[in-house]
Amino acid sequence: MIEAWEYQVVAGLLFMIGTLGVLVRRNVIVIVMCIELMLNAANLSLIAFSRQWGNHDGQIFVFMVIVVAAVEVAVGLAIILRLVSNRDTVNIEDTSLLKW
Amino acid sequence: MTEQVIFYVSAFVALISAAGVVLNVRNTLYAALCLVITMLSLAVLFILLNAEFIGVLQVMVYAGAIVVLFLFVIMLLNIRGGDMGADRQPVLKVIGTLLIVGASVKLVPLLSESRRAWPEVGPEFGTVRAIGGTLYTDYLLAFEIAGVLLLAGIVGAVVMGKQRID
Amino acid sequence: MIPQIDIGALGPMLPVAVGAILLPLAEVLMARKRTFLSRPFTQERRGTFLAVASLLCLVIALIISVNGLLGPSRVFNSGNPMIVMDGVAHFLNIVVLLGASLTVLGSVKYLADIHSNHGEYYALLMSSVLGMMFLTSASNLMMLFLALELMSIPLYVLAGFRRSSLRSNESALKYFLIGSFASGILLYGMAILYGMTGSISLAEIGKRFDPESAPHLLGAALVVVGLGFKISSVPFHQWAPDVYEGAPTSVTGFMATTVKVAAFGALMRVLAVALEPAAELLYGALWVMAVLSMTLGNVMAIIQQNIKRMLAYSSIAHVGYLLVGVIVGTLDGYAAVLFYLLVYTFMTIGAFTVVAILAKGGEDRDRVEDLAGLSQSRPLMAVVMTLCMFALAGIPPTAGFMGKFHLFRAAIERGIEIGDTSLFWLAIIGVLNSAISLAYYLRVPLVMYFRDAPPTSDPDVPGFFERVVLLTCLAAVVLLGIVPDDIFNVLSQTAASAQHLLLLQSP
Repeated sequence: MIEAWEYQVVAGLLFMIGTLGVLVRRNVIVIVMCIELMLNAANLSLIAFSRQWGNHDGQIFVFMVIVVAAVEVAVGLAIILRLVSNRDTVNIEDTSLLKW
Repeated sequence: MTEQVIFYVSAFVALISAAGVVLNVRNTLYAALCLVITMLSLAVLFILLNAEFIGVLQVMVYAGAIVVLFLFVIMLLNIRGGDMGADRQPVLKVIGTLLIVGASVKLVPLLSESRRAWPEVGPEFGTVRAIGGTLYTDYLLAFEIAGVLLLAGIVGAVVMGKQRID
Repeated sequence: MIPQIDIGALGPMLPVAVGAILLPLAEVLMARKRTFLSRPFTQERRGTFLAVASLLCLVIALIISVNGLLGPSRVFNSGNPMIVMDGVAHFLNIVVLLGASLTVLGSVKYLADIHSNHGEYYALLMSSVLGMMFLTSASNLMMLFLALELMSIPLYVLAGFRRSSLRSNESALKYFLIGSFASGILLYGMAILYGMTGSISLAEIGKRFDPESAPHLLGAALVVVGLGFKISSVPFHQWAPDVYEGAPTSVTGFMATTVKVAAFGALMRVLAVALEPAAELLYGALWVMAVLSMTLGNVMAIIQQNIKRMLAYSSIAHVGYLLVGVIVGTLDGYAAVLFYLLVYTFMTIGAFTVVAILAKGGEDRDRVEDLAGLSQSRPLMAVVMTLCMFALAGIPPTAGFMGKFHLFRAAIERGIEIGDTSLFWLAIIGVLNSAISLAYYLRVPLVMYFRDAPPTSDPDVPGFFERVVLLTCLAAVVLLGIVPDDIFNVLSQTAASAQHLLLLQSP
């Protein structure tokens, strides 16, 4: 049987990979993908905890997170499309305001 | 034994392909494909954790809809170069990477601290029936809000995406 | 089996939800070439109609909220407490609804001025308000997350509502990226809190939270960081000036006020209920955040030439003042935060509305010099702007002074009570910062009254709706400064009722 903490370690590493991606990548579409990775890490964590506690709260939470992620990606990509049609770049540093 | 093999293989694939999303600077399309692989291996992990319904949702919504949306936008914008040559803040990148790696090193033992035995769960756990029952009774309000959220998302995406609105 | 639930607890949300759902439909029906009145609506009339319709929904919700304010607290409990409509939630909803109503009134002419008069604006605004109302009352992590997203996602679009303006697009993109990044962090923190305590209900988490255990604290820290991004407190503030500057001015006013009201509601509830056992450690971190927010916000605001940017930094500074009340953590502290949020909403929306009125011919006029000579050409606008600046700076007898007075008094009283010098320092730093802030707040009236207008300047006349906004803000800023005691007593009662409920309430 796999230990509970092994799932948490996978989730934690996935979250860190996602965070790293958001911080270092400069392509906005990839940044949105990395945010999806962060949400997925949280999902894995929630599902594992849900199994560990034997209640369904975590799974319902993940259901809602999937809805939120879908909406977020739809709106985010629409914003990116609008920006690109006004200015021909997906590079975050070409958008003058975007300085971290 | 089989379970352990499945776990280690899918966890490994998930992490490697997630790293692929971040490290693949040449082609945004490959990054999206790496993302699909991550989603699919996570779905396997979900099913290992008795969350069959969420596992299926993960494949259908994440891999099937969300990543397809990404692919659609990448194709539409015809992005080729990724972000090569845009590396104007190398110092920040190195510091960020070091910080994150350091944090991971701290995080892993922290997360492995809580060792708790798995409880026995019934065969109902995580099935569509059980999830649906809870969703439509205990979490009815959250479900309704998710509906309004989807509506707001549709209106928002239309406002932003449409060529001209009047 | 249908659970027994108190649907009445949802009372204030229902009119807003109806608005959020029906307004897109009304917009589409009215956009048809031939309507049921067999006369096509012009874009202006359509905008006005939708604004009045959304105002109606907001006012109905406002009336229900005011009725509920001193009534008994109600819980929407369907097997798991979803929302708690206590005094604090009702009061914050009232502030959110007031802010939204003023925004709607101030948007009608502004949207036409910037050539973005699309009916979807009001639908998105209503969805966002609905999210805020749930955010102030959410009593479990799932509702908190959903409400936060329902608040934020329409705002990303609203920030980019000037579709043809590059600045607005970039503002939307930046807001979206930072906002979803923050939700990711918040969500992971929530996952850890759930995993450590086995429950998503805030009250249950509060009972089982173990401040000795590192994973518990990690979850708490991630949640605070996530909410810190939403209230734009230093060091999670870098996005605010850029986003505020690029967004349409009416939206900026909305973002700067109501979002903070709702997010502070969530922060107070999370800190007071779920993370109460970790209070001492977290308050140390919040202390640093408060001091940095006040100082950095005020210092950076001095060098800004753009009013929207200046007000963005000023709003960061005000987050610092508000955090003082949260750190104090007593009933007086919470009541002071509630009062300050009310005052802050009026003074900030007043200032942003003046800037919005100046927009003309598709261009924003948002530099400080653009206000030159306003006292001669548009005396009403100049008076409102001056009073809002005085109030933001905290000059007596405006409402801003009373707000700050209550915040710092609560800090000092608590400091005496528990003999904690860090609270004194917090109050002292707050007062010093108010002095610094005079430097940039007073520059605006100086420019308006003592510098002549350039010959080309012809500021726009405020329309009827905008006049209503200006006079409301004027009256509120003056009256809340003169008669704050009655309101403050009511607030102490609401805070007390909430605390009573928070401690007793269990699933």
